[in-house]
Amino acid sequence: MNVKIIIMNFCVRLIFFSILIYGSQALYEDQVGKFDWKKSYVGRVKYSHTSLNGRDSSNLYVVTENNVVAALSLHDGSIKWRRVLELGEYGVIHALSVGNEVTTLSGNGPYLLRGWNLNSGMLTHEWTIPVSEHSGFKWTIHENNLYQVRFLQNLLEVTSYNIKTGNPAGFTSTISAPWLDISSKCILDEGTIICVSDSGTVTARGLSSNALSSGKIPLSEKPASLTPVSSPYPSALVTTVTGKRMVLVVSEGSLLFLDVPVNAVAAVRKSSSGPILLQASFSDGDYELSGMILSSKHSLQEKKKTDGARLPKALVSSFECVTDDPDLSCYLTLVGEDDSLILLNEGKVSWVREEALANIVAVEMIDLPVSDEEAAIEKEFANKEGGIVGMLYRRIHSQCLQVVNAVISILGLKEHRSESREDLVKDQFGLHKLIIIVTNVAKIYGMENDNGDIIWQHHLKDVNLFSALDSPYVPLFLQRTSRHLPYPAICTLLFKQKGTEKAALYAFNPITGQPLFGGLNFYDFHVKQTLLLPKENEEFIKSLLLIADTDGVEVFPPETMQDALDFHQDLFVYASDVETGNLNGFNLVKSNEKLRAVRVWNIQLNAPITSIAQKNKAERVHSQGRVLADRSVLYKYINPHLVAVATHTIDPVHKNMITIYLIDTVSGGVIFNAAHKRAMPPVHMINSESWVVYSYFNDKARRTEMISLDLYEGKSMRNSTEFSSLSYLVEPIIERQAYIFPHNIMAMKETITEKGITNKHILVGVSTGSVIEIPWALLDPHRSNDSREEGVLPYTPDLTLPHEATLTYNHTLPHITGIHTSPAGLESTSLVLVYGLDLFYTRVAPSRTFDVLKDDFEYWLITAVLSGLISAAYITKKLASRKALKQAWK
Amino acid sequence: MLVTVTRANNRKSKWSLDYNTRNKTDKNSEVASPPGYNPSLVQIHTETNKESDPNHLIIKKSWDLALGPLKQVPMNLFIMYMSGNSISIFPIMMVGMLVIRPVKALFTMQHTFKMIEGSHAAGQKFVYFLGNIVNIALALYKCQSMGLLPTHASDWLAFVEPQTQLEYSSGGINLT
Amino acid sequence: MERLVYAKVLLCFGVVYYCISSIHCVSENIDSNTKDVQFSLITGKVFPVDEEWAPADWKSEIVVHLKGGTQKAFLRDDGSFTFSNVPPGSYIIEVTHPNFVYEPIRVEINSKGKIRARKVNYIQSSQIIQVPYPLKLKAIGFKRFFHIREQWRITDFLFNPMILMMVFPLLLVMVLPRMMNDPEARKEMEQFSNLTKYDMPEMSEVITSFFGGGNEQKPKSIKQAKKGNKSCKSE
Repeated sequence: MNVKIIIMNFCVRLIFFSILIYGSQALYEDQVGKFDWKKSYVGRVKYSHTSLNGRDSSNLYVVTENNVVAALSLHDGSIKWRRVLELGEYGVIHALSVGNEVTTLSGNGPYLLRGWNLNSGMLTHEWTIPVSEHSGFKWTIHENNLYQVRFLQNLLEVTSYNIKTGNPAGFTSTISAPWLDISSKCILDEGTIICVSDSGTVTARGLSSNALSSGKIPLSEKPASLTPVSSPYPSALVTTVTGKRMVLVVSEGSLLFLDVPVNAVAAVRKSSSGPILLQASFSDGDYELSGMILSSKHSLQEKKKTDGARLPKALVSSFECVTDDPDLSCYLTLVGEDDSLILLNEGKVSWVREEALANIVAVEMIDLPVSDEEAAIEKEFANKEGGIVGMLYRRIHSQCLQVVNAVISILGLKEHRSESREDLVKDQFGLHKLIIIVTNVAKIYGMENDNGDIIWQHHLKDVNLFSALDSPYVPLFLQRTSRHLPYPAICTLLFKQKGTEKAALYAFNPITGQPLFGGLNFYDFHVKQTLLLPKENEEFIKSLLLIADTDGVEVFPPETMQDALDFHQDLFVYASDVETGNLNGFNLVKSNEKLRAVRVWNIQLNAPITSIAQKNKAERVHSQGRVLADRSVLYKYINPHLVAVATHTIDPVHKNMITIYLIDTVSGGVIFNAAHKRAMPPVHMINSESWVVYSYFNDKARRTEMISLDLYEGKSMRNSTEFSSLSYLVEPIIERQAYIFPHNIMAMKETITEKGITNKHILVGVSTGSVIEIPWALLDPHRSNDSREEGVLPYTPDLTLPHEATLTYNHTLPHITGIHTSPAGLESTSLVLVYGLDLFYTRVAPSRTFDVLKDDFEYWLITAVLSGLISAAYITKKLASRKALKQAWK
Repeated sequence: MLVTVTRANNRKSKWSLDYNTRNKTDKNSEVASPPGYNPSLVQIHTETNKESDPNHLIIKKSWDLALGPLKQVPMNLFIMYMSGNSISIFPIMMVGMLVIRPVKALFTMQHTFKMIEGSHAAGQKFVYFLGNIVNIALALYKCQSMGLLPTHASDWLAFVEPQTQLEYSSGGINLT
Repeated sequence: MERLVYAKVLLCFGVVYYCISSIHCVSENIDSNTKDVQFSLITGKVFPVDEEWAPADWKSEIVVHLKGGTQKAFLRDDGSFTFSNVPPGSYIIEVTHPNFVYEPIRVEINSKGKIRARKVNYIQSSQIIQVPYPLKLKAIGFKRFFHIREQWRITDFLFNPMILMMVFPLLLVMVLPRMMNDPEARKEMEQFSNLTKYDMPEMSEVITSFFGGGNEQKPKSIKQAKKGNKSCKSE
């Protein structure tokens, strides 16, 4: 009974405090859409189907590599409906068929066949093929039948299911295929299996119809692979080992084939005169469409060419025509090598969807340069020579220029600079930034953050991304900011060369997208680690040091070698091996005018690393200590070299175990370690200021837990001016606390501001598709029920958060991959970009916007009251003086 | 009244008054004092009257002035006790009053003591000064108990600069 | 010896027969899976907050998550959903809709395939409040994402106690002297007070007469005498 009262008491206090806290940070309904936007994507298209039904309901049904089934409007490419299937292998879609409804087969192990309504995307039926001990199935859907095929030696095992009912037993038959041997390459298309043997014999067999057709095609080399071709007939594209290509079409029992040149893509369509092959040859950003009637090898007169379209190299995904006539005014859907989805209609580009943005790897927000007028003003102030007369002259000069510019712009005579936009300048509060996005296919976008418009884009070919912790990773560096105006900003990306996997570096101007320093630079060593120098040289460039496998150091740009040589002894690099858990720390040593990395410490964790988190280099901490209830100060332990590492071991006793280490990367000391038994990855970690927050899944209690660690140096600081990990190792006091988080976490990031005065909020992306904002005060390890310190809430293990804490209000963001935060010019605001399948950008103000007037500041009310009071004061003064005069005369 | 007169002067007529001065023997005869008249007071009065030294008066006045602040100490103590230790408008007003009054008095000390022109009255000035200092000390004690004085380390926390880092490190997972 | 050979032959036959038959068992049979794990089916039905007030396409915005999004189910036209091929274990089912709030449910399947659904309690995980299975999930309300802006109303200003404390005495101070100065007002005040004075004795007289009855003469005379006294004294 007592316990219940205590619990109720805490609930009441918690509700009171949460009202206090959450009253301070949620949105108002009229702020929706003012400074946030959302963009939806579907991903790289795997299969697509065009269905023409009049202008408004013509749809393009797509199935993508990101496990999405969607219907796009053929007219403008917008998403009509979208169904995001499971993440991971459960949701991989193997086949698509569009008839009365959209049918997809997804899964890996147990398979699910789902039927979707054509117009609304509602699920009409669903049935499952359960787990079997075999694997390696190939699928094809043709005319209301799903065929599951397993290839055996000289044998084909085919199970066919009815799409609607899924006939549980299926109908298995074994087809003897003496023509099937190990060396032949096969493909399933439209209910038919087509195989090409080494010698060029083609055999095509219908899976349900027993129709067998075979023939020989003139192949000079061995076939290397068979790829599908968009066609209503069973077809395949044969690619030989030397790269020669040929299209095979099986139509009405006969085998038709045609050579296809290397830079062309092909598609087939029905027509009244038989199958027509469409060839789209790619040259320099444009496609030339030509057609040929396959049966008679008669070329069509009409050719269409796109003009100045600057399209990427692409594969044809679907090809559909309105009429049966042999003409080329059709809808051609292309999937580019940069993941974009392009629709060509009658030889012109209808729309392009940038689907590379569904697989974002790295994000950075760059300040925009100041406008030209402001730059002139700043230059005028910076120039102090010439004495008073000189400054006066310059001031008059610049103001005359401004007047002239204003007059010209009013009269409309100003010419437009078409290359760059006029409004890409820094605004008063520094909230207008350019977002640099790097995607999985090495495509770079420059996007402005006001409304998500893409300013420039560039696709890098011949490079691959690194992979770290099972996901792609690209190091992105900002070597020069846009604050030093005559010098352009420099942004650098590091890639691997295709093939040799050696280092490739790409430097560009993030504001305009133009490559700098020669664009893509290839090196002849493998890169192990990178280091960006903290100090700028005279040209305001921070050098980038690349540490090679051989422990040599390469500096980029090469002219800045001297700066690196100057203070090499203060530079430390650490490299960790994910599989073995080996961490090595290096110091840079000068050896005849070149730098070398020398190992100074080594830690062996003997377990694979699941997660590693280091501090944000741009972070500032404002307050150096924490005030306790008795007015003494507990100084924070702010170690900029502290790295949090999480490892995962499986041992027979404790099943899964997650161990957390806090390691100082300059001295190699392990400051702290903690082990959690029966805990499973994924582990998400945040390392910021003097605290660390990490989350894992507790298998025993079946809930996600969040642990917060807070490090303090003590009641006095040993050295209050300098921090050095080498002179002594401080053992910090560590406070810990565990909390239960009621959702599954996909990504976690803390907000960051320029000076670090504002509170920190932790943004958590959850699997149900929303992003929740948790104030640090709720995760504070000092929360306890005994001591009542100021600003510290009583402890409850459950982190229940009201719906006002949802940053994404009623948007759903499926498959959140990451969250990026960036400081803005305003101290109270932090800019947030959430990426995954969708892109969502917004602004967060963790301590409420304390440095600007609020949105609904009542100017009119205050002026009215003020003027009313002043006039009342004057009137009463007059009246009072009149009355006094009257009294005096009495 | 009429009765006593007739008792004292039987021979005299009813309405006449005798203006002759009495000799010493008559002094001892009983004359009743008017109601409310206290003979002892006259003694004191005559004594002080005897002095009638203006200097003495001035010195006394100046001592009164000098002891004024010290006399306010108990009242201030009471005000401090009643206003409480919270930070709200009333205690702040009281503390403000407690501080400003002695400070003003200190500044106008010269002017106050000008009334006592002539003598330099060093002792009185010193005592006045001391009295005001005691009042200010009381106000400061009140500030201290309200927590307004920056006596603890937490009050100087805003001036602590972040530590400069001597080394610089970077790195991460091996790039493969 | 012969029996041994016969047994061996029989054994071989049996093995061969089993091999052959197992090849044909490609199609699913729930029991013949790896390690004999029994997969089960979880079904349920989802209801909106209120049938009339729900937007027309609410069904298409609902996605049901199992085990944190590892498996997803979508609603059919009648509002039902199914998860197939679920191995035994304990799972949390969450229904997501942009605007409706649904409570998560914990579903436990034991190794024999029996399904039990209960409410989720992260703190006391052994607490069992059972929920009917097949699941019937009803939305418990709308999500409130936004705060209402504070509106400034004139009543906030007027009803503030400090303001009342200042304004009311102010009124009294300003208005009453005016009233006092005006002779007509003073007369009225006096009449008013006389009226009230006059009323009271009447009332008491009525009551006494009501109760007294025959003593009318005496009170009257006393009253007259009193009046007489009064007049005498005032001079």
